[in-house]
Amino acid sequence: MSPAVTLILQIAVIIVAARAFGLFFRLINQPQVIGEMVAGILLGPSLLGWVAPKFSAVLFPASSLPYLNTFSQVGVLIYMFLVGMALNHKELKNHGHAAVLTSHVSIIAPFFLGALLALVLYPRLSDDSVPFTSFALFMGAAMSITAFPVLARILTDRGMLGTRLGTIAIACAAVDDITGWCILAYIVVLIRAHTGATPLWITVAGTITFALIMLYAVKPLVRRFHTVYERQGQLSEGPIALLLLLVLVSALITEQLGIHLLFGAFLAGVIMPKERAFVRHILEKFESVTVVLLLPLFFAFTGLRMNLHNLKGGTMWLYCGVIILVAVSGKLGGSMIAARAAGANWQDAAGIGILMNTRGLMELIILNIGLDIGVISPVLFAMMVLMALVTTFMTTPLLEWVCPMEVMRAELAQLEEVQMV
Amino acid sequence: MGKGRLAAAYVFLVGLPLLGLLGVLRAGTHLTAPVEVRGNWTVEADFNSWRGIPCGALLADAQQPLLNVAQSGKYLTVTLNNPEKTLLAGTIDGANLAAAPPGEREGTEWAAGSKAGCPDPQSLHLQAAASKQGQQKALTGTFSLDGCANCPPVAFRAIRQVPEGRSVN
Repeated sequence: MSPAVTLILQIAVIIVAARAFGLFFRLINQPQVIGEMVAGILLGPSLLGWVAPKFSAVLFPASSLPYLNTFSQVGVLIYMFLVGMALNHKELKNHGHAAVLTSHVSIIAPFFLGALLALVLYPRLSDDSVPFTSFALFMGAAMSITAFPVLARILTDRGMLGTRLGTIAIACAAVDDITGWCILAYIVVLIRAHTGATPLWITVAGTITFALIMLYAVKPLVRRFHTVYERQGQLSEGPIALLLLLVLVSALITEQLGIHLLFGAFLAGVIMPKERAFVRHILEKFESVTVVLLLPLFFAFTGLRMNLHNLKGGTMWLYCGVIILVAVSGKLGGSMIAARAAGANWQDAAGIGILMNTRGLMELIILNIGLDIGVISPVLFAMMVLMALVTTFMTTPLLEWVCPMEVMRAELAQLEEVQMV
Repeated sequence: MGKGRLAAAYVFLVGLPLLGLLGVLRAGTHLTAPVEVRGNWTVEADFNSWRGIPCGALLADAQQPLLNVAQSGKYLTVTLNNPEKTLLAGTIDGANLAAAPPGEREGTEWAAGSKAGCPDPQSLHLQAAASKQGQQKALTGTFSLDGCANCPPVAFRAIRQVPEGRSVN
């Protein structure tokens, strides 16, 4: 088969699997994205390559994977732009000190526990090409991330977006993600400096300069996209092409600086105007192709890199269990205790903890970067992907248990009534 | 929320974990991880002593033996030329690595003695020590065919080809 035919076949199979699993997971009250993630993993050596190795070798020959990777990277790049665009850290200010405290604790508590776990895992699942500091910081960052988009989807599905609990969770998740990505950028710089790919001073000075240019020179300019949108009620193809160009150039610059393509795309999203109608318009323009076509390719590529059969023996599964336990205790436990300390009742505090524990797709993106730069090994990658799946999967049932949908709807109705009065 | 209570919460919930994190990063600098050995290695060895022995045929005829090591910390998967016939599972302890067929390591019954005077061809064992000379890594050790009385261990030296990983995308 020619590379083009193989790629088209792969895309077709991946889309069918992603839609089928997405639908199934919706039927069991889970976000569709979890089903798509599971589909990707099952298409890899963990299931398809195991039960039908010959078919898997024909469908996903090693020589075709770079093409699949390139497509999936484009998808993740646009997705990171959309995530950056949807983030509005200023929302946190509206919720006062309590939300700020919750947000900070929801980062530092899992970060600390992740680093602590690194003391155990480093001599067993890492090697001497990775400095301990990089390994520990990566584990911390991977534990402290929250899947902002998945969280928003869960809140929307449950009608909780307008509730106090929902708005605090979404604001905290926004801050968590910005912080998490800054830390990850630092880790990538550390690793690349260690391997001598780009001199450290160029990366650091260049990144700071670039971020300042984006925030103080480009940000006022991109306001014009909003002006055009307000005037015309939409963005025509010209401004959309310009916007895409900005994302690509920003991504290329951060890649050249020695961090990663995705940071540039994320930063381009962060500096965009945050008016709701404008954000919604841009999301609608890009979301369908990204979510339906490109992200499932990323899930499949992740699945092809992950082999659950590498987790051999009880010890490996024990490590995996401990990773999940630490991830849940740090994020769910830390956020819950912080919210309680900040004055929330136990029910709301638990709800915030459960929501913040959602890692989803953002975790997969971070883990793939970690595997790319060699800071985590393939076995640890598989364990962490499992952790991401479990923590995302547990959100909806736990939330239904702690904060039943009827209670949330009643609260929302009460809020609307008060606002009307 | 009162300012005093907020400050106390910050000290306990943010300050202490932050201090703990610094302590962990400091403590971790004393840890040592296994030597990195992943990648392809060009093997220099004289397998002539195995020529004519059924179970040694796999390596005796190899022109340019290539060792591939996949590593996850101390856990290794090693293949020699033909991954289907010489898949070994191993561990590395410090700079010393040892690998044997996966079934044997897991303690399952070992299919042996299928060919006259020799055990199964997959009973290949590897023991080696990793060393670094300048930028180049080398493995020095022996291959042995466990249970085969007529097959003396073969000493080898392997030089690593371009290291894997570290590139993004």
